[in-house]
Amino acid sequence: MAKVSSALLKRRLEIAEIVRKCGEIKVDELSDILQVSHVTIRQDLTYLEHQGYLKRFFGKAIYISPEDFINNSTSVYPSRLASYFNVDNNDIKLVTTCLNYINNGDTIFLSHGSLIRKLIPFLHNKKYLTVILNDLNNAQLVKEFSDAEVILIGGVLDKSNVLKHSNLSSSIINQFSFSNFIFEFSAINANDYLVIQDIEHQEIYQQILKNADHSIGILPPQMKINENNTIGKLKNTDVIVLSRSVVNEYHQQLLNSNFKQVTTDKYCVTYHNVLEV
Amino acid sequence: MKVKICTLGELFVEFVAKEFNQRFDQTSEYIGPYPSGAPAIFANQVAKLGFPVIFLSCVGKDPFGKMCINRLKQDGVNVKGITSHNKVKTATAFSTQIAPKERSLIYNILNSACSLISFDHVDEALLKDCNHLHIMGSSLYSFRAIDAISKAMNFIKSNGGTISFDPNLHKEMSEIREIEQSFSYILEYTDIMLINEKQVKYFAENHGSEKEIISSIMEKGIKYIVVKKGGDGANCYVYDNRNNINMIYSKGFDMDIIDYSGADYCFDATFVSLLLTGFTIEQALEYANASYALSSSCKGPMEGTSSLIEIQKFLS
Repeated sequence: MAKVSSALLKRRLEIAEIVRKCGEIKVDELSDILQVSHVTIRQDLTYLEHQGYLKRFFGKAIYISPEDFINNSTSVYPSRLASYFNVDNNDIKLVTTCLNYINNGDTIFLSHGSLIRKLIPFLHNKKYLTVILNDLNNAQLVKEFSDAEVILIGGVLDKSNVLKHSNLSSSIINQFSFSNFIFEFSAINANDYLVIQDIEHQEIYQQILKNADHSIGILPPQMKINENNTIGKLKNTDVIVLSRSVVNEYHQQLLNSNFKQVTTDKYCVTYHNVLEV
Repeated sequence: MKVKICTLGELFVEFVAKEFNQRFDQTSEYIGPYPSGAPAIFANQVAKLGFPVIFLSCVGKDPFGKMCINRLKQDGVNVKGITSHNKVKTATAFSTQIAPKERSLIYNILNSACSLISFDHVDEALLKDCNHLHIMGSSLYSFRAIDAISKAMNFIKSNGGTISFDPNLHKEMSEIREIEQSFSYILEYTDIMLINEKQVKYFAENHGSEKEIISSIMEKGIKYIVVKKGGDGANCYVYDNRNNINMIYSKGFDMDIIDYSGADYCFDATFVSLLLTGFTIEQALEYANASYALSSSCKGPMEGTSSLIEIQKFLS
């Protein structure tokens, strides 16, 4: 190996850091910061674009995270731009599976979050429901789309308008008999416990999962999880709806826990607990 | 001195050809999957010796990924820095031995979960107690990976830690354009370099003996350079108190070689961790050679990692 300078690599690492921190930046600005010519910057950006590190648009460079690169390897746009143009129909298919288990007159608890929110407009066909939630935004949506009685429980309102669990909410929950508990979860851990994203809701969901007559867990695609926020054992759930992308990971685990695959389509697979249902 | 080591890079499953010189283009038998990957084997050997080690990598959310994580965790590696991802699969490799100490590989690293190793992946909170980083040359397979390693390197150095580097050159790396520049960059930070004797000439600016080539590399500020000779032992070059370069030789051990894959990384892990904990160079080399020999006597890339007691028993 002849003496090779690492100056080129170092400059590209520096450009990578600037683009990553700024999100997007112009060629002119990079040239000024690094005190090199536009031609040199363009060559560096061409290299970094080839490496999948960024995308170049009209004199700018826009950072692409590794996850964006994997998700959008055939797309021109990073996903945060594509999200302005695309609607994710997969989520809707995941949640509308739950409608099969909701009957007129049921008392249902809907967990917080944007995924469960997508189920709400479809509740208009169900009559005489009592819908209990801890998410203020979702509660308002239920009022808009159905004539259900809406009960909001919880304690302090967090920045997402979700009510954090308190001792008061525990005693209120005990007053209800839940026909259905419909919730989004993040993973099934190696000990067959269901994991949720937010620790704030761990206690309340643990309580409801124990008490509900019927429980339906929905697992969308996830990137990162915290395995410590468990809400209950897989075997205590009646129905699990898995998005297609996670079926390989959990299929065997569900079969080992006495779940049976009952329906499948191109978006999701539904499993029933043969001991509970 | 208490040591806590970190390393990052490729983690994959390997399928090893059953027969010697087995061709890839003919239907044949392979044995596997074995957990593999140079930095993973290094981490596994450090953990087996009883030292704390954290390994950062990415796998797919598939049985291969789970197997790799479970195996490392079982052997004592801190696996909190290994993430699992839905949309990509765990990297895979097929290997065949084509000569007594030469293998050929077909691997899929760049289009696998390993491609997600990046700057953001390196969590400084996980590395905050580490005082040493080991880098394998095989982990420099993309700009993103180099970026991640650069972050870890700068973090460890800024906290007063040390860096060891094994270029781990193999012929499949010739496709990677950034290799020469990244080697040059990392050597600026390296304190301990471990290199196979066949690769020494790669770093020669001019023709010369091993000692001459090593001397020119040491001018970059590297404190120890170990030239590994496989079963024939190793030379360690170090400055003495008169600023002259001394060479310390430690002999190898005669063993029937069953599978030498992974043995080099076991050598690296044993030498680095024992040196950092206060062993003399001679002792560290002796144990490292023993670790190499023990690893070569087992089939499978990670199957020959040894505990300190096993090495001591071998040496006694």
